Amino acid sequence: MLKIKNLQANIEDKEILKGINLEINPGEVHAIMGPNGSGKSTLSSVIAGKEEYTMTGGEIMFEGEDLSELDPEERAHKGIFLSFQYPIEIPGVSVTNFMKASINAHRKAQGLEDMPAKDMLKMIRDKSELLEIDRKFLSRSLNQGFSGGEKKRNEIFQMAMLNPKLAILDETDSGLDIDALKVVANGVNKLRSEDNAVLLITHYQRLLDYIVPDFVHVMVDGKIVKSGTKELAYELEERGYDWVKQEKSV
Amino acid sequence: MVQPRNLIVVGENSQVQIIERHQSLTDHPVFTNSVTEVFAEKRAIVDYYKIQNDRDSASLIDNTFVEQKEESYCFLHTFSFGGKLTRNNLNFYQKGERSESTLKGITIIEGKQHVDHNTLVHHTSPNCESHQDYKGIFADNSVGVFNGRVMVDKEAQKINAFQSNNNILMDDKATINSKPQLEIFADDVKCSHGCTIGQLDEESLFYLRSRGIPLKEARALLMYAFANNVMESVKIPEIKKRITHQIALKLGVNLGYDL
Ligand SMILES: Nc1ncnc2c1ncn2[C@@H]1O[C@H](COP(=O)(O)OP(=O)(O)OP(=O)(O)O)[C@@H](O)[C@H]1O
Ligand SMILES: [Mg+2]
Repeated sequence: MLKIKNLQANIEDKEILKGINLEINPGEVHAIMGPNGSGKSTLSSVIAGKEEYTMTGGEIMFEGEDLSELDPEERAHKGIFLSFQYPIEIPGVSVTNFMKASINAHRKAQGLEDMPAKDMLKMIRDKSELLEIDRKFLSRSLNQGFSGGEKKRNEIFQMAMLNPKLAILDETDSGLDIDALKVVANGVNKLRSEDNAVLLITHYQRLLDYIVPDFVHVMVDGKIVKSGTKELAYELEERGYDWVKQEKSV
Repeated sequence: MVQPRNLIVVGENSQVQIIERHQSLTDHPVFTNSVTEVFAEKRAIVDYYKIQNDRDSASLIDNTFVEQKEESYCFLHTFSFGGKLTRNNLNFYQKGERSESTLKGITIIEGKQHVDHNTLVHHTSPNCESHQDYKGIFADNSVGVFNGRVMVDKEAQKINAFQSNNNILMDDKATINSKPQLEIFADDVKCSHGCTIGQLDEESLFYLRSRGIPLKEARALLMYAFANNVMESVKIPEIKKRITHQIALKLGVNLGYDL
């Protein structure tokens, strides 16, 4: 589904991604862990198409198609979804209207008419129930004044609405209390299927108890320096990152 | 050249809604010099809308004077979307305690259009309020001016006077000149003014686009959102709908829903 080869990316001439290789197949869950500033969010933004970053080398293929020339919205239409580490506050646009605009933009890209208002409302109701989101939230301005955890939950609500092929969850667990973590993980698990994949970025092994990864990768200084199965996450939790860094330099 | 003159007297305890619009029917140059006087008596409520969306050949100078007595409420919304040159000289005189004035505006212009808002709120009595909220979106070479003057006389204690002017410049060549002027002679008052000039936020645009909303719509959505709190105080649903529609046209999108 997603094939990243030797990906290099800069921001303002500063090299951040220094040759990433990653292959994700349908049905798989991958986790990326790694120290602060190692480039995890940069990788997710580059996959989602953020224009601030310049790809200086390598390639990103999604379902056999080169992503590098596509706008963020086109990538979204192809089924890529990024749950932001820091969701943006948009005053004046309600969650509901935002979702309507988003869903209908996806439909338009597929040559479909706008979703009938009744179906839209039903879907919003169903998905907000799945994530135990209070209806009052839906009429509030997007993310404005939401608590950290509420913002993350709202991201997963959007994911549930859009049902993407590849969901990249950038530290969606940070800021969630234990109950909220279960609700969100449950939401993600409900959406999993043989056809879609999840890329989790996290600092905590805890999330991986709920959303069990097939592969765990460790990113250090713009590179994936170690990959393994979920046991690797336990080892990292226990031993930190130093040993991986040392292993790498040996 | 047209020189309309309106005199509106709103008696005690009465209420009025007024919609004013100037429309030329051909592309011949038209110059309108309009004078409107409004007298709001005790406890009168005035809800006034000015829709300025004339052809590019038309220029408008609007002079509006509003005098308010005790406990009167006056709301005035100005929507400036069209015309070659539009100058709004809006003067509010509060001459009675506990009166309130609200002046709001949305300006969206492009090309070589020019829109001025010169506002004056003169507080002469105590315990009054005034609120000013002007939003502007300027594309191409368009020019906007906001000149907001608030005067508080020595006798006019316990006044709340707020003024804010926020602008988005869509192009390098677009201009906004924003100049708040506060002249306060009373000592027990709350006055504030704020002015911002910026571009659309890149992070917000990326967020919307990552959800599949194309750049053009994402921009429009953010501009809508930007102007939204001015729309909130519009009390006539038809006007709200119409203005929303005009904004959509202006921004070149069909959003297909209301905000
Ligand atoms: N706009 C920017 N300008 C300059 N440097 C940037 C910018 N964005 C990111 N960086 C730098 O790129 C590096 C990688 O940042 P990134 O956000 O990808 O790290 P991360 O692995 O997600 O970290 P964390 O675990 O703290 O979220 C950091 O050193 C960061 O300071
Ligand atoms: Mg990060």
